[in-house]
Amino acid sequence: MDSREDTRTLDPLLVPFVSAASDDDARSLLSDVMSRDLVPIVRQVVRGHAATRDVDGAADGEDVEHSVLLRLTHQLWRQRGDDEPIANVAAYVARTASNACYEQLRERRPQRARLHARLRYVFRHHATLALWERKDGGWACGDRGWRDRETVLGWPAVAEWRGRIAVPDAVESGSEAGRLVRLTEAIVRALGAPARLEDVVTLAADALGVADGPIAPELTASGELVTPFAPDGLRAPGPLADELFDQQRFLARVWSEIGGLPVRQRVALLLNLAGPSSQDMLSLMPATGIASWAQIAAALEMDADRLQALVPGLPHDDHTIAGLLQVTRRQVINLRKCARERLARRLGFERGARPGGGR
Amino acid sequence: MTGTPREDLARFLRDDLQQAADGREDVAYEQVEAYVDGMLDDVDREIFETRLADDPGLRAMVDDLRALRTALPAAAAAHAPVVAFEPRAAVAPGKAADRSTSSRRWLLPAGLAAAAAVALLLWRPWTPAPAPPSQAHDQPRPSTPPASATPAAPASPALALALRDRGRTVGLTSDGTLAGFDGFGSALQARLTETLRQGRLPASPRAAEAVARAGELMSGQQLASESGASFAPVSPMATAVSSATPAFQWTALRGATAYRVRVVDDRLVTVAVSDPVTTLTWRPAAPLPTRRVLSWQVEATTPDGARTTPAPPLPEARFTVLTPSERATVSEALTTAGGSDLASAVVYAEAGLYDDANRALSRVMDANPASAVPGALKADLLRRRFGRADGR
Repeated sequence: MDSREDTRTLDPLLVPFVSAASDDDARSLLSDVMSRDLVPIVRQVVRGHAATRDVDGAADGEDVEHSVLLRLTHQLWRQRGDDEPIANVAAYVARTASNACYEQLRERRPQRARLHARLRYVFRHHATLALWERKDGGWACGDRGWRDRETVLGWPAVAEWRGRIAVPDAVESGSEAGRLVRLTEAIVRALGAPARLEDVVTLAADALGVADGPIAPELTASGELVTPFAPDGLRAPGPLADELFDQQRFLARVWSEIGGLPVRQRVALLLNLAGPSSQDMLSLMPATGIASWAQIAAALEMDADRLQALVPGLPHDDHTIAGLLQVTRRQVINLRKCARERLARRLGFERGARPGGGR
Repeated sequence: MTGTPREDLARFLRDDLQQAADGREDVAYEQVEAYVDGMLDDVDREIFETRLADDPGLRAMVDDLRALRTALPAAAAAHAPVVAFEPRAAVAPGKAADRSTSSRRWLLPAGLAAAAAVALLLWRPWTPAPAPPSQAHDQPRPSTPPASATPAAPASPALALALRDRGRTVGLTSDGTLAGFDGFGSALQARLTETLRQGRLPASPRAAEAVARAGELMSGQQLASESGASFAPVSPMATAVSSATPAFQWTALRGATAYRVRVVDDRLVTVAVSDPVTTLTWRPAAPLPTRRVLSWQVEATTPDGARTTPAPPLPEARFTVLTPSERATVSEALTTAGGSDLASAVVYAEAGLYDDANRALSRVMDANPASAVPGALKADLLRRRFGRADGR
């Protein structure tokens, strides 16, 4: 893989790794950066996040850490390719870890995650309430006038209100949403001081009777026990076993799913369909009978002549595609990334699975 | 690529889609909120909706937040503040003392910070007089501003709160009615009334992310001085800006031979970078993207190496750029503000143009040197932006 020539906007931490002459050197350098600089950030974020704590508050984040680090390795490795340079890798890593924790909460405790999001929205949008970040990176909430206060109530002080806060009537509140707003106001009024958002979520969950039931493992058709952490719908029906070995059917299914993408995503994906050596892969579709040039032109919503004019330059770079779509280069990258992720979801590819989409 | 074209294509797509699955980024709460609040541009909206189509859990969350969005304004209007304003003097001295020992000084001039802190001690939000008319003249009204709040305002017996504003006397009457803004639009009058009653300028959803997310990933409460913060960004920070090519300003670093500014978007993608400059200001040549939360850093070149600010653990210097239509809306609103500095501050704050709002309030402060009101409004604005009334 060619090393990046222009590393001016790249975080200095990543420059040696991205500029490494060989992939072996790059792997070693990336490993150094990960263990020395990035793992501590991931660990701090993950261990401070509610998603990785059980009801008793014990840390349970090793699997999340592992998952985040694996994903980061993939993402950072792409810095040696065409990905936009990461200017601040520490912030990037922290954001990735934080998002992963939130996703984990959604998967493992969906009811609590839902309440968490709703309360966060209330605190961020209510006229007299506020949400602010604490020194330790956690969130505090309460009345807007309390934002200067650096201390928050401990859980024992918050827990004293368990079962003692009346849940407002939904009819009087106008709606379920209105009821939650009233309840949030009542909690803040009762507490009388800033509290951790997580503790307020727990108090509200208690008052509303929100609880996530135990997640029962499912027995798959192949006899494997799988714990279904993923929310319904995220795991699309995967390819049948015989499809994995049936290239024609696999390719036909890919083409079918491409047709379901919004047109800008189709353009961003197909015009930049580049193989490992940047060779044109789109031309293999007509060659293999997956889709004719006319079908490809229709998918791109352009006439055949215009597509033919574009064929000699395939795969096109992001600047060219940006010009065609009248968007920025960054938006082209995001559109293509979104398209690939949707195809992967729809075709049953999962994180960490073996290549080929098998599970 | 060593097989038949079909094998090559299938292998390539499988590898590529597996990579896409492995590198899939999780949906952040902020993305959901931005979508619900209509803050995403059309491309980001399309991307979010693509994910939404495959994720019922995400759809449920969006529905939840939309319902709350509908419920919240009614809630705010129908309910008094959850906690009554405490007398400032009861809580502020300790805080003021704490701040006086703070060494973080890179956000605001100390004199302004001190004025704002003093103002907080003196002024409380206006509330309607609770006593019946027969008692109103005999009994003090604890919730009205103390006499010291407006001693320099022109004699105006009908006004419980009075300010000089571009040669006019404006304020609130004893029953909370706005005075001195005749001819202004009813919407602007309502916001001015609320501003004077609450002691708080309108919040701007537009700049909310630039402010609320500041420091989200870093320990934003840490003091700049801990890392020798004479070298720091000045503006723009925690605000919206109307120009798509705003001037970036920072303080000098001793020994620096050149500076380079880098602006990144909310995905940490660089959207602008300067050539090395030897001044303390730089303006990008090309327009910056709108509708995105941007952040910026300045890197100083010194004989000892490069040094960048703000850098962890300091909060990011975030801002957002108004769209042309938003700029037009502000211009139109300023026309209706009739040159009033107070009304202009309200218009600017509502648009998230907090630096402009702050400047307008400074003019109100200059015109009312003995009044605590403009200082309190400035203090609230600072607290909203930086989490501290003194901006430190």
